[in-house]
Amino acid sequence: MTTTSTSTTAIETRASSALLAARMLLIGAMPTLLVCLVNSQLPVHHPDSINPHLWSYRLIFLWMLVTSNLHWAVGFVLTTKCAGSRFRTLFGFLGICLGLTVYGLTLSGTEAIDLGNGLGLSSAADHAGDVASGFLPAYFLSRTRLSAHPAFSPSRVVLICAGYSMLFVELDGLNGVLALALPLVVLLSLAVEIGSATKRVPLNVLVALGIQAVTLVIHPSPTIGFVLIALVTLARSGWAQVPLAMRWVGDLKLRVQSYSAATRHRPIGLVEDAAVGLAALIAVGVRPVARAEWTAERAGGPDDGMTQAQHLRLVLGLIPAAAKIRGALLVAPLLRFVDWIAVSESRTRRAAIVLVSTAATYLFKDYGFAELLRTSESLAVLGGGVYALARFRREVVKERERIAGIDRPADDERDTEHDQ
Amino acid sequence: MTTPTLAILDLLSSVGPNEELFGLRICQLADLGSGTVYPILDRLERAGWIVGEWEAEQPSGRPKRRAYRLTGDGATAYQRALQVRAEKRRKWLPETLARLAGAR
Repeated sequence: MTTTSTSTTAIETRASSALLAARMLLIGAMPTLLVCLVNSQLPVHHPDSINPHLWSYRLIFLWMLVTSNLHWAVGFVLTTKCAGSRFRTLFGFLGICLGLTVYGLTLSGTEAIDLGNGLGLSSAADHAGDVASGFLPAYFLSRTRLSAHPAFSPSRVVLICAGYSMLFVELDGLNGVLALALPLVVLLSLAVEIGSATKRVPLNVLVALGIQAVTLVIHPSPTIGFVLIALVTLARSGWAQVPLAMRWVGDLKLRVQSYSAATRHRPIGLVEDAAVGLAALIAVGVRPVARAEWTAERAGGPDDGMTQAQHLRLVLGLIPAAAKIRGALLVAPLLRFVDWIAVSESRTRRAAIVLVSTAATYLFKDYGFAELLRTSESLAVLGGGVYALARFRREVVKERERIAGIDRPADDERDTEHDQ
Repeated sequence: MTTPTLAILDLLSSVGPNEELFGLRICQLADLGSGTVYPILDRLERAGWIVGEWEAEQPSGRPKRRAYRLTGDGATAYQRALQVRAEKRRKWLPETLARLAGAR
């Protein structure tokens, strides 16, 4: 009886989990599918309708810009709302992927217009890449205290996405860099809007979109539009209104004073706080103790004997430290592979030969024998470079093994061992 | 092993039993930036050469800090690293001269 009841409960749990997963998939996919439906009705899918001088075209362009990064906004809102539930977050993420894949599939095979390389409207694979570049920073940001700030409303996220999309298109070709810079764009936007009342954000969004539309009509430069948005937003914020600004500065003073009283007397405490916060954000997930440790270090002690400038310099250094820690863990698997090749002379030779011959084959196949001859010098440099890098890594590995007390056979013996 | 890593290990090996070395204190004593010191501390901690421990008692007016100390493995590895470095330095000049002579 007990067994039956246990298995019934297990089935119910599984069923409710499946329902929840299906719901999250639907929620994740729905916004993109709706945009897909709207876009399929737009006239831009017909090549004859391309006319950048038409108002209608520019409005459609604006719509495409804003919605092209919709997955980012959806991801952000979802992860913020589902903070604490990895199950919901995961299925929400999968839902977005699903929606984008369906979107990409509906466009492939049609005469989809390439409105800019950054939009990635041509294939499902492009969209999957967009999800990774857009969702992951949103996910990490949503797990920080920043996401609790009232300025992170859904309408603000749309504004940020609009600005991000415009930068994305304007700086065509730097997509990877921009994807990494996304959190900075978010922080910048937060800094601009921090003084304004939250209830005004939807109006700000409308103003921003209006400015962008006018800019696109007068001078089609998305970045100029985004800069104008930032300026107007700044002008409309508390900074531009003397009484509000004074109050804000007063609040800031109080905050600094109370913070200094609790920790140490430093007028640059807020900069240090921001540096520690950013460093901890970068190191989240790779160094669990980072936030607590660095917050304590930032607070310092009475016996540290450092000047204010020295302390600030050391605290600011935490940001590159966090980036290095994260970077080292990211490249670790790659280095393991490189070391595996480097420790064996024969493997190094083979790797150099494979790389050079692949490049040579490609050049010969696509550009002919003349081009192959012309670039032979570069190919030789490539081979030599690979070999030199492998030698360098081999020395590093050799030293590491000696320090670890591992007796290493001579290179020839090792090659024989590996080749067997 | 890089010079900053050796400098940090040297500092940690010379610390007294009642002395505690925190991250920024290590930066200060080793005259290295925190951007250099923390990645090294992280790497050494992952390798098990050093261990980080929170202060035992809650100090007044500030959060607890994390002190680092060398483990047994770390001390052995540090000694070996010193030997390897000394050996390399000793061999470097004769080997280079021999290579140059061979090349002629």
